[in-house]
Amino acid sequence: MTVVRAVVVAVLVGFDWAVIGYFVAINTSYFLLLMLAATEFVRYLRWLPFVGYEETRASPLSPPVSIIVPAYNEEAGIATSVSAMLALQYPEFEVVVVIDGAKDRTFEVLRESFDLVEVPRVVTAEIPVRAQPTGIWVPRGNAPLTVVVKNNSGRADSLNLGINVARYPLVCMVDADSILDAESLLHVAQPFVDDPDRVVASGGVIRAANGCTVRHGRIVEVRMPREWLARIQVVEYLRAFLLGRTGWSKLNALLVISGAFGLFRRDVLVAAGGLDAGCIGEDAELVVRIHRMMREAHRDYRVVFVAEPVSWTEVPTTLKVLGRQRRRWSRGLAEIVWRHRGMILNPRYGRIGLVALPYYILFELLAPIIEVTGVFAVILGVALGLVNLTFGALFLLVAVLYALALSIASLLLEEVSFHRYRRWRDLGTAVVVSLIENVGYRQATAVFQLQGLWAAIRGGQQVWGDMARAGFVTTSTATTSTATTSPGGDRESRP
Amino acid sequence: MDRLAELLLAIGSLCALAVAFALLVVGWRVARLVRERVRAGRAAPIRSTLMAVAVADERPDAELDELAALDAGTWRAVEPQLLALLGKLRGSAREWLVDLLRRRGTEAAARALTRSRLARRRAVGAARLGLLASTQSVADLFPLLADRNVHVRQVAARALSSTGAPEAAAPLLGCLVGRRRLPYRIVGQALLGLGAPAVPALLDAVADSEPLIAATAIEVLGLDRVVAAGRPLVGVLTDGSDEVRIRAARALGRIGTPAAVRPLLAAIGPKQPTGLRVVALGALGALGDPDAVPSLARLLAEDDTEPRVATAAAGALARLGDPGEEALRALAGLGGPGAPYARAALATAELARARVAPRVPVHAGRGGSGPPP
Repeated sequence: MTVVRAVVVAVLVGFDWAVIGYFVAINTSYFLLLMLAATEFVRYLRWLPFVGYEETRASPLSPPVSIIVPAYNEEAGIATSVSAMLALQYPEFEVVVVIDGAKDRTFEVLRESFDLVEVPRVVTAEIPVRAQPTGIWVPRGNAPLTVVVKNNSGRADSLNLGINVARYPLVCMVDADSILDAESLLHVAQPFVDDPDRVVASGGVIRAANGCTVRHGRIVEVRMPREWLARIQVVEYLRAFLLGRTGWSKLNALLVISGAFGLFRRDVLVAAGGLDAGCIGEDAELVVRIHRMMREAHRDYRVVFVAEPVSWTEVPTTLKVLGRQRRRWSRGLAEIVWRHRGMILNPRYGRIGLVALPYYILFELLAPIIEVTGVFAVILGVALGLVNLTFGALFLLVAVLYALALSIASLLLEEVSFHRYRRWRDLGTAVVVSLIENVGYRQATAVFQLQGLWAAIRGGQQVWGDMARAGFVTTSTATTSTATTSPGGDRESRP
Repeated sequence: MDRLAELLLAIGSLCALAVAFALLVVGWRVARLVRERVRAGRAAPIRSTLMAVAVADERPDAELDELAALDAGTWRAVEPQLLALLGKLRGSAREWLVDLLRRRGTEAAARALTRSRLARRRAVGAARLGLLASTQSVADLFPLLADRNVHVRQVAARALSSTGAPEAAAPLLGCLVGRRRLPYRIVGQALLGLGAPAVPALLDAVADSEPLIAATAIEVLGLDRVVAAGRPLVGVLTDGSDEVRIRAARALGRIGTPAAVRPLLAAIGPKQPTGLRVVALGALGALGDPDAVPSLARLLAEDDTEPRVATAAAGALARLGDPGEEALRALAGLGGPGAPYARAALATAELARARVAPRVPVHAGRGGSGPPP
């Protein structure tokens, strides 16, 4: 019995030290990314007056863009979204809406709003697709809009069809419910103007739209959401997506470009074979595949992240929907890592294989396992009298304070750079949220991620479920838009 | 120090860090708001004077003198507004403001800034010289085209563009190659901004041995629709690198050089690169010469024509007037490989005609999809 106890003690003590080491490593990596993002923000702000957006806005030499919008059951907001996209500030672009077998009046709403007429058009199969168009419609007027109607085959397949239909050398993928800033296209296209030989993709930052005031499909006033769950995600998006991805972009090792707003060179997408309709995290998988393709071809290339706020999306306001979202993200990440396991720690893939992918495995994929088992180990340690209760409590406090310092540092960078949340009340709420997200929210998301990981290990059919949206505050009427995910494809991209 | 003491130290440090960050957030916001308020307060009384200058029909001497006599602190608040306004003005009002800025030493200060050791200050200097559009500052801007900082190089290119100095064209083209080069869209836009004074240098560059220089010069000549470029462009269309030939084909279509039809028809041959064939077909459509109809119809009827080429050929035929549409109808009726492309082009042409013609507005809720074509 004494031997068994000794073994258990040794294992628990060893595990405790491993958890402490992991805790130090993960938080230090967050701070390093934050520092990288800070240097990038300083550089960005110093040179912002000289970037040349005005020139790009007016130049006939700016690269034309095809905006592709997959749409499924979006009747409530599609007309406003498309109108707002058609009013984007950019010299030459087209909007291609791909209706993915919608069961509601999405197509009828578009037809009535834009006076669509069906045209015969030959669509080349540069990227193989599962579902061919059943009809292609264009406005009777001059709006640069094409509406492609097809049977349901999922978001990725719809985007691939949209790429085939696209006429221009740059392709922008946008979710139908994304709210874009008027200059968003200018901002994400600028890297292609400044470095045309090397930039193959650029991603825009996605922010939480809950609580914001929307007028004619544009955010006109940025506010904190009313729901605490959404408020927590505002700070989380700032810390993890805005700063994290800026840091990775600075290292030229960005692995994720949100499907909700990303710009790609069309020829690179075609060469890569488009999005993988069989992968649940198709947006990130595409970027990893582009990295792989470029590295294998020994190409000098860049995948960049644009920190300027460009796109806003509604974040989940219930634990049920949040859980579904996080399980899907976690499962998607696991699938990507498994598919591209040959890149991991392979010097051939440079910092993608040696740094970014191992980081994602260690600090994204495995983090919930460590977090959840760590909690169990502490409980077991206390039960067996191996862990000093005071020590455990203080260690927990260190973890909370570390996360709090990180979140407030993110708020500081946001305040220094973009200061979109102008009300003092919103700033105060963000600070409070930074503290309370450590109690309950982090643990819940860890459990959701674990479930996603387990689903990836088990395999089986991908279950998408519904994403009910509460809608935005509009200045005219408080409308409620409701979108649901399609049976064959997710409507909501990872930000 | 035991582990508990270490933890307590860590807790203390992290608390201090979090509080410091929070105080910085608040401090930064307060400083920004105060700065904005002070700036707005200083500039507010002058705003009406500025507007009076901007909309005046005759030189508003009193207002200009008032602005010229501002104390240094107020001038610092007003100067950025004046420079911003300068970018939006044309004609006399712009000249008066440029004159005022010169009197207050803005141009001299900007020229001095271009020689600063700090890159951002050099960029500020170049940007201000660009806003002032002074031909005297061209010599100050040239060295910045080879600046070690890419942003400074870009700002210098834009600034040179706004001077309209003909001697800026060749150095701008030279920036396309070398270690400290500029992207072709930045250079191209700067050359477009120079306008007519750049044309001689652009014509010289059409046959440049460096393809990027030749291609950029050709693109700008096409966008500027320089008729004199027709003959040299025909030359490089038949004898140049692929990229140069593509740009030449596009430029010839834009310029509308009738003599380009024959070389463009040669450029759509099956052994030519796909990119060139597509662009040359577009140019033939733009030229609108019905003599091209038989060649385009033959191309569209072939079995092995690539989809991109077939789409471009059908589109070009639709732009060649009645003979082109007649050929398209014949191809559509034959049901061969070109039939789907012909049908699509005919529908697009029909739609374009309807867009030009006046039509009855569609009432909300009625739909108005119309009969299928």
